[in-house]
Amino acid sequence: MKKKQVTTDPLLTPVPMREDVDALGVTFRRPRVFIVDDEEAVTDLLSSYLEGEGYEVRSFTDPIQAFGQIAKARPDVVLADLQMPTMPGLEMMTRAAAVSPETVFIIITAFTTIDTLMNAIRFCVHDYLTKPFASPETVRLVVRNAQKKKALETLSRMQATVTGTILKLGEIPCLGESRDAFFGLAGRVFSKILGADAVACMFRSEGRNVCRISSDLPLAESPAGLMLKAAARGMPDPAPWLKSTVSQEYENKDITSPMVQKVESLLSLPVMGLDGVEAHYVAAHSEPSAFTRDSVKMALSFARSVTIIVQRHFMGASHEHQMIIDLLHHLREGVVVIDREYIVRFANPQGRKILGVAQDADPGECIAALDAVDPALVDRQDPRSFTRSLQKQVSVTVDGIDLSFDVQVYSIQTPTKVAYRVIIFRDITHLKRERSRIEGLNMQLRQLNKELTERAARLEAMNKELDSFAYIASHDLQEPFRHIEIFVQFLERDLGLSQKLPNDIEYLLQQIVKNVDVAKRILADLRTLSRVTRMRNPYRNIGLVDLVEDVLQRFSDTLPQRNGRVVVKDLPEVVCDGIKMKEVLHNLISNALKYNDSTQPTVTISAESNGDVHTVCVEDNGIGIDKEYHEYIFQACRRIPGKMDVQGSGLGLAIAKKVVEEHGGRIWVESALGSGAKFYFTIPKGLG
Amino acid sequence: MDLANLRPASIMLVEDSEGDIYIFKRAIRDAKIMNEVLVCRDGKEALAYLFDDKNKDRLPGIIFADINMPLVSGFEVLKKVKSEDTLAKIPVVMLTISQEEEDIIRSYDYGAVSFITKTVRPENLLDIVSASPGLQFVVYEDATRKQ
Repeated sequence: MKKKQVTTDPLLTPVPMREDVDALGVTFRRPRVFIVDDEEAVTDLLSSYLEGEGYEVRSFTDPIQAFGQIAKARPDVVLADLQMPTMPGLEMMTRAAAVSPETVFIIITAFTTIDTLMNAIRFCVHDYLTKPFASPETVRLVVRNAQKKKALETLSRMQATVTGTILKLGEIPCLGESRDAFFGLAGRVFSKILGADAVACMFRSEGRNVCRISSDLPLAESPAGLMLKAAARGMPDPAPWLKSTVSQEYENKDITSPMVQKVESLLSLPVMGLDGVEAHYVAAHSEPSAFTRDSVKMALSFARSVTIIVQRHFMGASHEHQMIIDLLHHLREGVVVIDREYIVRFANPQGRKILGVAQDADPGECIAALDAVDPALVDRQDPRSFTRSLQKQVSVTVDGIDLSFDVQVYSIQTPTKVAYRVIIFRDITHLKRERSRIEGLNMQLRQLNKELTERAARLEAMNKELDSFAYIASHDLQEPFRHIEIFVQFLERDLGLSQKLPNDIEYLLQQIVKNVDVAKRILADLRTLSRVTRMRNPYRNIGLVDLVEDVLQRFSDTLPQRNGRVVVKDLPEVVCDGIKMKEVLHNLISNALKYNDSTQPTVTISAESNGDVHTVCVEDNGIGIDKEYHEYIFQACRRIPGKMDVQGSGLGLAIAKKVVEEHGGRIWVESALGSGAKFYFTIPKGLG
Repeated sequence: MDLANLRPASIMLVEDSEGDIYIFKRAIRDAKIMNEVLVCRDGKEALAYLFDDKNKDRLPGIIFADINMPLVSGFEVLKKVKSEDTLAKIPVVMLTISQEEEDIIRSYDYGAVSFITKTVRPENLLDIVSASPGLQFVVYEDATRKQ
């Protein structure tokens, strides 16, 4: 099976410790060993075994004195005799372990019993040596093992702290408001790793130099700032700003204090940003060669990790920054940003173009150009106007073209309370042009509308004239025809009195009378048609059956002559112009009888209610109408050619259609040749 | 009353239509009414004759007036005649092609004795002419003279 690949964040993996930690030129602290025995011979012997083996050895014959030094110097290893006159070894070690938990305790005893050892181990004793000592090697081995074991424990515990811190630092932006927190946390961890008396962290924030001191010691014991001042002086290559910062921060402190003289160990740990030192840590200790090799290695590794985190933050931030800049560069709007000092901090290409400032010119040139456009945009005389929003329209000549801009000015404030004035130019030339074009179009439209209205009025006047002409014509033509009729009568009388008429004369006279008849009927229908058009009678609620009865009166002669029959079914009440509706019924009934060759012409009038209309049906058993004529017959002066020798004006259905449509209804026919016809028309309900 | 001095009264026709003038005259002639027919081509001419002092002894016995005439209508003639004492006693018959009720009502309101709708049957005209009181008188006068 393939082994699962564990991918880890590079930040979580400590930077490989530098092999050349010795190249730093630092003298590391040697493991410190205290030997406590009331017999000076023993302490001398042990010292001789351990000195020269890389240990710093101190001997004590008085356990009380030894205890005081352990609390202060925190030795790595304590070798102590169990039986001592002033204080039993175990008691001393128990108390010492409480104040110096990092120390490894080894007992020296002449009587080795299991009980003694078990007792000792209960008191956190790590190992034991028996007197007399077997060999110097045995002693060295026991001490080295105990010390190494302890160092490893410390290292791994510290490594856990470092890893946790790295994780935490990854979450804190090292820019803006959390900058202090970021570098402060790292400083405390440096202090812990190195066991330094104080760690100074120096960095820039919001354009200022900041120095933060981390120290575990009480302030009275650790004039950390003073130590750091000395540190800055003594550092091999500190940044100039760091030096000035330290001197500014601690100018008034007494540098002749004896404590200051005791700054013996210094470690400089730079954290790099993308372009140079981002923060500088300086760890200080009052003892010479105070930092162990392992702790310096770990501190360097941690500094590397912090550097990577900082650079990653910057890269992320600078990526976002670049994205916003790109966005602003491609905006069609001109954008200019000014700070509180009235310095132009940013102007995008469009903004520069509008202001007539070269793309590579200093953004500062924009301020004069802004004044030239409109001094009100940035009023330097009135500081309070800085945060005042405004909107105006300005005209600017860009590349020789007059353009109109909508300018919006407002202020923004960053989370750290820094205010900027943002000026945005939006080109509205096109918009304005479009608006004036639309206005022009609107004017044209109004003009057209006016002309149309006038034309409609003229048309209506012409129609009226035509209508009244039709009326007058049909009216006035009656007279000549009446005269012709009468003259024919006189002529017949005059001729008939004297002699028998020759056939031709008689025939011609009959034809004159017949033609005059036709002409008169057409005239009568024309008059009706023009009256239907011209006149409007009030709409009333009328029983259709009453209208039908009125109309049937007109057929009181015709019906018996034709052996005709009219069946009237249940008819509703309708709201309509009764006079005109009678014309409709008259024409339909008249046609039903006229175009009918059956022995008993039958007309059936019925109606039904369909939704919001009444549908009236006039049905006959006449000659029927071929489908192709179903629409044709409703046009004025149309008659189906060659159909019976029936006389009509050809206007009846046109009149009916006109009246029905005037009522908002519809008229149509359903018929086939030779099988009668059904004329339908609708009258909307609720008219009037 | 000196019968010898009686002359048959004339019939005044106020009519602008040449055809109707013929039809009217023919109808009178066919009915054997011999009275002179005095034709005025419009209302203006009729009023000029009636209001001329020279004609006060030759006033018509009856007036037939067409309603629809240009300038001075038949109604105008009727109103003027009825408002002048010396003329008011002359019966006036209105002639029209219209069958509008309003025209009939107005005619009687203004004092017309009769209202004749021109139709295609001249006989109808004669029926009414004969039934007109003024004309009967004229016919009678005419008849006695002839006898």
